[in-house]
Amino acid sequence: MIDPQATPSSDDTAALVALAARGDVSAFEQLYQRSSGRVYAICIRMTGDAQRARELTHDAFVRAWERLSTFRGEAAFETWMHRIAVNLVLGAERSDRRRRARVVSSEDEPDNERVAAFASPAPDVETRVDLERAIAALPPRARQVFVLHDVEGYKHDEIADRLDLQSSSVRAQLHRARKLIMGMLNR
Amino acid sequence: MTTHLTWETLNDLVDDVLSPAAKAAAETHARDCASCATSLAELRATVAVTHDLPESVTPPEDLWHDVRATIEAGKVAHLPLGSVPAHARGFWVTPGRLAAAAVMLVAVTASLTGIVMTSQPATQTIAQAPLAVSVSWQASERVFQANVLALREQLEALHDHLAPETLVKVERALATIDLAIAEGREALLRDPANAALSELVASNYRQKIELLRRVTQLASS
Repeated sequence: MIDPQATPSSDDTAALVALAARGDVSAFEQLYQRSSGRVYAICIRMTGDAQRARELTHDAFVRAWERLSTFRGEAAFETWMHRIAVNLVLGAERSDRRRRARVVSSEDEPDNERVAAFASPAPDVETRVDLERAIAALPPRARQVFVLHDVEGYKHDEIADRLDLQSSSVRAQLHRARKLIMGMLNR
Repeated sequence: MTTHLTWETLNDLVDDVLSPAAKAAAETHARDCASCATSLAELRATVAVTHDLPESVTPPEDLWHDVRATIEAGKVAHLPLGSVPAHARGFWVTPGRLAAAAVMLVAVTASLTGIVMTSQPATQTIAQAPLAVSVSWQASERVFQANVLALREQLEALHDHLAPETLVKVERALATIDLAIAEGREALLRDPANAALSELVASNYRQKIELLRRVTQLASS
């Protein structure tokens, strides 16, 4: 009996990647369906901006399509996509600082579209939505460090490399982000 | 009286990055100090809740459509221009066949456009006010237009290599495709979410690019 909840096997993914690399868009669509949620999650949490997250997710998959022939399968496809997305988000942030200044500030009302994106029937939905809103309201650099460390599980040194910061600055930004988050959640 | 743990120390304790001695001292203090124990518990709870956020967030439903449109446009853009070997050119590459194919292409384009445009529900064809098409569609269209422009420039440079009557027929075919694109775009502005319409306009662009590519190929052979 086929289990609809079963996780796709790595062989299955490898076959889809091979097909997509030969130009099969339907195969790539299946890869998109499997990994787009994770890519969109990192994009929206790192940017705090639904439209920007949409653009970056779009760009991540277009870039993946262009580079499918370079995917060697050493890591899972989802991990490869995740790396592409993080690189894109950080690259976009570096090249477009003016845009960064426009994202939601701590005084702004949360983006309704963004909040709606997190709606879910989970029992702790209220806490989760509050937390997502608080993350979106963090200053950009603190948000990036916080998401990479506390959500994605990166180490201080890895974040320092990615963001071209001293490890001490990463720690300071992380501590600041947590203080701001707790302040917003306790309001 | 013992000094309370700093915010930095509390965080380093949660992240387990303190030296063994500093960690032991901090833990000992937290056991004896209600204030620091509370702060530590609150911090740990916040970090735990954050860590438990879902790994995945559902992206907008129509995002795949935009991704697909862009990669389809890219597939056209990456086709080799003017470098296809003669044996691979097949049926197309003679002036007479090219002109005949152009006429056929135009007929198919016009028919498809007619079918899709007339199959829209009446409520959709009565526009309230023009709406902006999606940013992603605009990006895809820019890619199509850049391809058309590049091929147009190549064709201009090879203009003298084609017979005048072939050029006339090709230009006529291109004008008809342009009309189909213009009609499709107009309909798309009224109904930006209509996937069939955006696919139709993309298809018309692809046909235009294909025709230009083959004419350029012919002229450079």
